[in-house]
Amino acid sequence: MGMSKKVLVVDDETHILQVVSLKLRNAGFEVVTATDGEEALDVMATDRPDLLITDLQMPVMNGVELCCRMRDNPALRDVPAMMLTARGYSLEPEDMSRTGLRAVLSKPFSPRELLATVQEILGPATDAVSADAEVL
Amino acid sequence: MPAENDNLIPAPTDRQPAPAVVTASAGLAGAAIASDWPWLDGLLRLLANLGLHAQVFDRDGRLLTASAPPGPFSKLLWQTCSHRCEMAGQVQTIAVEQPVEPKATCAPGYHCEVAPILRRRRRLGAIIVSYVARGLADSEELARFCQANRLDKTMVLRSAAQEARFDLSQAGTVRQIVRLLIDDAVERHAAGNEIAALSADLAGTYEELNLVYKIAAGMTVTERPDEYLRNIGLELLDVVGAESLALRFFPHDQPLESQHISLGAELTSPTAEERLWDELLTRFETRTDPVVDNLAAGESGQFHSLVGSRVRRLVAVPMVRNARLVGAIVAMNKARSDFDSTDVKLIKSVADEAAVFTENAFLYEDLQQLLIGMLRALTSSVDAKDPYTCGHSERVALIASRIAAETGLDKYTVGRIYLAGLLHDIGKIGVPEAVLTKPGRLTADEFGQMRKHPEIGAHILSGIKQVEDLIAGVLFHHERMDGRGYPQKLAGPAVPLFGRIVGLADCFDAMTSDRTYRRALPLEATLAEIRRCAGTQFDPRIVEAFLRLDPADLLRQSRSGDAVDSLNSLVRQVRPAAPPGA
Repeated sequence: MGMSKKVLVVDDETHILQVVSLKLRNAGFEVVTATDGEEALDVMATDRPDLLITDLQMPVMNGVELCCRMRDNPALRDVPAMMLTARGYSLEPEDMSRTGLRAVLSKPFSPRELLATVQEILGPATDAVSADAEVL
Repeated sequence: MPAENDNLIPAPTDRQPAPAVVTASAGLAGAAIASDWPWLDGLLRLLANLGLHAQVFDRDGRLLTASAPPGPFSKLLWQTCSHRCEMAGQVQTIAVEQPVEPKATCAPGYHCEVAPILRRRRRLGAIIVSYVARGLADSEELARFCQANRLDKTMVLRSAAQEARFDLSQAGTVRQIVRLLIDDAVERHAAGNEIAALSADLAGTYEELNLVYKIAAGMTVTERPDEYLRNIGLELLDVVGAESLALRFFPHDQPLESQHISLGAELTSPTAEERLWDELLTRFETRTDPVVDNLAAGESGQFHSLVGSRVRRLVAVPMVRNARLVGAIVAMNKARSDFDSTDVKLIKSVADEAAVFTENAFLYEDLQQLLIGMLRALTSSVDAKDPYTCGHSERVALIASRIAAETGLDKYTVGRIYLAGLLHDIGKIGVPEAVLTKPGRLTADEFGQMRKHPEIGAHILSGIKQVEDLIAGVLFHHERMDGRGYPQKLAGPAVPLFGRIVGLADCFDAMTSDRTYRRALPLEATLAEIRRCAGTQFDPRIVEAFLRLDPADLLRQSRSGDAVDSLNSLVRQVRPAAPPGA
């Protein structure tokens, strides 16, 4: 098996984490979760994800700040990010540009749409599988 | 101890799971259980770390897999065929008999524990863990055992000392730990499965919620009930993953508004589909539960016979409103799987939502038509006072709405500007007929009376909630960009958009019409005048949009019978946000 691409999902609502994790894992992605921005930064410090999916409104640190803090870290600067927001809540254009978000989905989102968006950003869930790895 | 001897060296013919069978099945079954019991590998590793040798049996006592012996002593024993026979034999009995009473030993100093694999009180199999206890001493029994199995006693003793981790007195603790570990692994996996199943449910619910939200949001942007129904049909087709979807809607009191929409692949002939609909609707008249026919699953669906072999799966959901059947949705053939309860639930939510909205939409449209009819009656009473202005209001409405559309306003606003145009001169009801129809110049006093009509109009409309937003078009259609208009002498951006657009349309129609005091101006002269007044009387942007419209054509259209027809179609499109809770 090739290496699965890793997605870090950050949300203070565990049911969101569950749904997103399930959908992405079923599609072959590796999923790591965190329940607030601080935890997410801790995770990212040792374990660089291929994509960050974060909620907007969270305790401790909101999604915009999390994205900005991530961008401040040279090692994480290039990690693409997408955001989930409560329906009816829109991001300021200024927030959009400073977070460099690739996509914004409003809750309740369609899990299929979410997966499609992730696949659009990351491509297939795993990198090409080498022939001898396949034999194993 | 002859009895124990018997246990140690069983006659191979006595018991069926002969060594050959055990080894043969180990490989095959090992692969099979990897998917059934994904927790097993982890558990075996855990047991191996504790120095325990584990063998896993299914509920029939067949050896499925075994861990690598954790030390030299276990390895020796494992290689001894009789030991493995013994194991299998033990499990054969424990699997069927309850409760489990394992034999304490199967070799001198070697201790076995049999632990059942339980899930919801059902026995899935058993694991035998074995380990050598500390303090194995040379004994006659050991000598016999070594001789029988052709083992070197010194080596056995040495390897036992090397491998031993527990005292025999700890057997109870070891047993407890092993059982706890097995239960934990099984339960944790089951809990994980349950969470996955719940999450899948939740994902389905999200999908449904999202769709219902989308549909609710669609109510405000779609202009017509049939387009709305078509859009939700397309959404459903996509979300459910059906090959084909058909939707029928027939509000009971508006039979002419019946809708039929077919989307996706054509799987049946039109006559077959008609038969299907007849049958479905007959059924739904008496029973409103959904129809789910998954022919591929071996169910003999009564509706399949009607539609031919290309339809393998079918789900049909009635649309019910106030206990009355108002339509139905049928989805056919799902890509990879059968239609399940999630699909049915989803289609049902959509059907309910659509029934409510579509019926409201038709009712709303009726109300709109009623309102517009009344407004038109009101305007024509103004036009009737002055034969020269006959049809002026309708024409201004049409021209204003065309300009509005050209400036890029949304359909709703365009429709409202149409109505504002229709009503702009309503205040003339309060102007004496003698003034309105006076040939020649008006006196200053008469001008004063004439100039009151925007305010009178605004006053008339101010009590009607449904037209409050139109007042700007009525009150301000004589304001000018340079502030020299009336009644409030507003200037520039202070003049509301409705007033600017209706004002230009009003002037254009007035100039191109015969009046009591003059003949109609030729079109070219009218346009030159309008261009000249851009920036002073008119908003230059509105003039620009107006000139883009081909005014010659507009003039012809506004004076033909088509005008009223096109207005009707325009008004049909006037669908504001659905009332809250619709």
